Amino acid sequence: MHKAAPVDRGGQLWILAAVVLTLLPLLPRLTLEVGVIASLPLLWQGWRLRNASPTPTPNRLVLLLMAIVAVAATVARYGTAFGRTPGLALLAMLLGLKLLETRTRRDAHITIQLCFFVQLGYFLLEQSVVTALSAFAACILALTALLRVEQPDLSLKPALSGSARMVGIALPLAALLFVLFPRIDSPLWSMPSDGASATTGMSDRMRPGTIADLSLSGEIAFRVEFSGPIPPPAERYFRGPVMSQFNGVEWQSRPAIRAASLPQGSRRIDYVITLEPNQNRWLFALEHATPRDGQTLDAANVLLASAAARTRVRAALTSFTDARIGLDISPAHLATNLELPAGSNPRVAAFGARLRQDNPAPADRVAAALSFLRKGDFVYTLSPPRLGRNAADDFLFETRQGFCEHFANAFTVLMRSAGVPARVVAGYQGGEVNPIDGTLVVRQSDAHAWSEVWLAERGWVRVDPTAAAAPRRIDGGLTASLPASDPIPGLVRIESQWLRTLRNRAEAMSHAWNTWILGYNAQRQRDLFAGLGFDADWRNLTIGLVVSGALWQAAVWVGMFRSRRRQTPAERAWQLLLRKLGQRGIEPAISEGPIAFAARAGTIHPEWHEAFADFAARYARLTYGPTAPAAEAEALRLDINAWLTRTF
Amino acid sequence: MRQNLRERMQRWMLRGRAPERLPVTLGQRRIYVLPTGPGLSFGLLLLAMLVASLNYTLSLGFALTFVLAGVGHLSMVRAHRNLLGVTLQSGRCDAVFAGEPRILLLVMQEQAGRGRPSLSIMHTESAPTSFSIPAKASQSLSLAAPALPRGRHAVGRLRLETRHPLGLIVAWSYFEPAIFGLVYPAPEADAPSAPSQQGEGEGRPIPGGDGVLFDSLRPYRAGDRPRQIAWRQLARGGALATKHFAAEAGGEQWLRWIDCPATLDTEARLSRLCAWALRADEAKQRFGLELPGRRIPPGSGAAHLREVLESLALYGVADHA
Repeated sequence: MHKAAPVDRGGQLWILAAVVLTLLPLLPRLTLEVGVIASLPLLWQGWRLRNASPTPTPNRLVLLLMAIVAVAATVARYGTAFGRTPGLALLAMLLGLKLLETRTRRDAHITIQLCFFVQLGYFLLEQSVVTALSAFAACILALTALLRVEQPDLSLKPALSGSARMVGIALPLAALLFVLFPRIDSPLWSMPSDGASATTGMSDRMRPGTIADLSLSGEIAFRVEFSGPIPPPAERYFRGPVMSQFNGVEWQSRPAIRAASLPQGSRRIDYVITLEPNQNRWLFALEHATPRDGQTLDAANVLLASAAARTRVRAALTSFTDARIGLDISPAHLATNLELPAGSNPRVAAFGARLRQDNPAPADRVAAALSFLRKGDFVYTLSPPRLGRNAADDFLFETRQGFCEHFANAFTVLMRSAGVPARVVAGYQGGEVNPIDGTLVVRQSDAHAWSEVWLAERGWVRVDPTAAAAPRRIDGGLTASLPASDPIPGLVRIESQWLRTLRNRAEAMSHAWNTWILGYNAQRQRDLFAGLGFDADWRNLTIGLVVSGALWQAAVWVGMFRSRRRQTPAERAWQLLLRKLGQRGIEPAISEGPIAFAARAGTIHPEWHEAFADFAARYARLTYGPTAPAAEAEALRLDINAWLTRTF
Repeated sequence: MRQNLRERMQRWMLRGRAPERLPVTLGQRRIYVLPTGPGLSFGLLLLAMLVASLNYTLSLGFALTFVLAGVGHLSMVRAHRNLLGVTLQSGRCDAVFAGEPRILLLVMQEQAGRGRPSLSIMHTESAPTSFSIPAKASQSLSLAAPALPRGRHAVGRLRLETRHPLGLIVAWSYFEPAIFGLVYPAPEADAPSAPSQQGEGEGRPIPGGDGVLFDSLRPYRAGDRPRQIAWRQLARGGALATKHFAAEAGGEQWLRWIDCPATLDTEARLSRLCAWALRADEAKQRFGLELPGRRIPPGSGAAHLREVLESLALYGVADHA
């Protein structure tokens, strides 16, 4: 009978509000038709409840029909009803329908519980601070609706503050569970993927224009926390894919093979990199990284993670800045770094041959080429003129305007033509230190390309042809080196100091959020417990959970009994007086107030009549009258106690 | 079998306390909590949310799940706390005629200084009465209990429960208070008139019930005869009200056990005597009662009628007092 009790209009309105707030952040992320189908029932419900006496709930058949439409829309859009996004879309539409047929308390419970599940669904799409806050608000409103359904006489403010208080009290337990609940490394199952969503990021191919496109994005690529001092900008080359295969237009990496030897050196730096989600395994280490657990180093000394960073990934890295790589390279392998397609870039080929003739030592050829770039009035720009088939030829001898990949491409082709083994490295260069939390923030706009040339006894040596033409790119970042007319994202080019500070603050907060809330995974849990001297195995975590649960329960009970004893001094003294009289067989009747009782007790013991009447009058005034100063209650307590000690 | 198990469980829950003398204050050892249907589905929901969070490593999913788990735990504590310290201060069970539902009037009290919303009390297996007690206050309420045969009966087992605050957890406790109520014999319908008298007064026969004129309804007052209560109005959800009758005055009469036909058994005789007594009272007649082993001299008025009906109710019944 309880479950079937109907929900009144006020309760229905609360549930409607909870559902609306639950779906609101979700709808813009779903497609238009899903949004329309999901919001129709909400509008219908609002229209139903507009009057004091709501119209009856819609026919089941209509609801069934709408549910079929919802499933059909999902399948038509996504090809399936399962998976994250399709499942979420379907759930959003069905939530509205369930809302429409909510009649009884049982229905209300189901609707609200669906709301909680949809709120969890947000996090499949995004886990930002904003999503967390909106889910939190929706959760409180849903709890309020539940409170209101169970207690129909509750008005707006006590209902809202009641649910907010409940959540507040639940937070410590939630925090304990959050820290202690055992996390797992790999998923229990995988849902059909919704197709790789387009994210900007580095690719393993490079042609003129690819990195310039990236540079227009102010998105963060990764953040780096250094345990020691942050290296100067000119040393901050974060190596991504190494491309040594050239078809005349496009550079491409070779399939990765494991490195035979690991770089060694004396200048070691340790740092932690937090990569934003992307589709690749590159860890963008500084020169030159040595793999730590789970990481691999390929033959081109590119550090790779064990899996693509589809979610935000934190990795601890170690590099030796003075390490030399490629000293033990085989001649056959070296020869592949000289390959050029026949007939391409004839003018560069001729210029390379001349360099080779003039400079017998390969190092001199590199220096000569760099000085050619330095003196050639090259312009570093994001919007270079279009280049023809022989991009290196056109760039070096015709247009002389280009972005880093133009420089890297032309220089590498030139080096190969001059008989120096060379390859292109793509990655990020520079970055910006956030003064709030001291992390180095590297954005997509810091994407860069440079070359590596192989010299006997020195191995692969980094040469940045862009630095020769536009040295400020390396020291001052992209904004400093580009002409003011070039389009770059507003977030990257920030002149105003307070805007910059504001952005830094927001990003520092977001990084702390990513590290401590979102990035709290099995690894960090193990680290945390290792720091405390425990193994984070299931047994210890379970013990921790049980112990802290018991402590929590105990804390709640203590809180309960403390509040039960919260009596005013006057009440305590009066109760003491009643107990003492009770021992002599004088007890107040159920319906007897203090004054009536005192009068009756006074007739039994005429000698105490006056004292009783006085105490009762004061007690009644303090308890039932307007708020009196605390001193009055205290005085009554003292008087009663004094009288009791005198009399008994 | 199931009924038996339930019975034993309830007996265990009361643990030999019954019947208890009033006032009874609920201590924590006699309050029980269990999830309700929605509470169980809430638990399953939390499990599903937990698995989803684990699988997709949703840190915020964990956070939401654990906050809701904390809220669930809190709602258990709150439900328990909502009953803790509630006092059944006093109670009364008014006499009724056999076959009529009994009405309990209870006074519940709250001393801890916090309001107790969403309470409901019920006699096992009958409709609950919902109420709430403001902080530091008493609340009186009436409650229907199933009909019982003639005699003197304790009110039986009462279940006080609450689903406060979220309806996920039900907390309940049993009372078996020492409140007793009389059940009078059911007055025989269409009973023949009482035999004519040899009594002192010039009694005239009571007209066959048609001298009783329904006059008006007035609010229920303690001591009103249950038969006069407007049950139909109560059943429609209205207030407890009493039917007021205007009746004619009459003479004096003896109602005697031996005047009943010998073919009737004890209960039937008591029913007939009851009907006679009511008629005599309605006719404002003085009447006396003569049972084997008991004799009540003629009198009139509510107190007299009550005495007569009481002796009919307790005839041949072992007294529990």
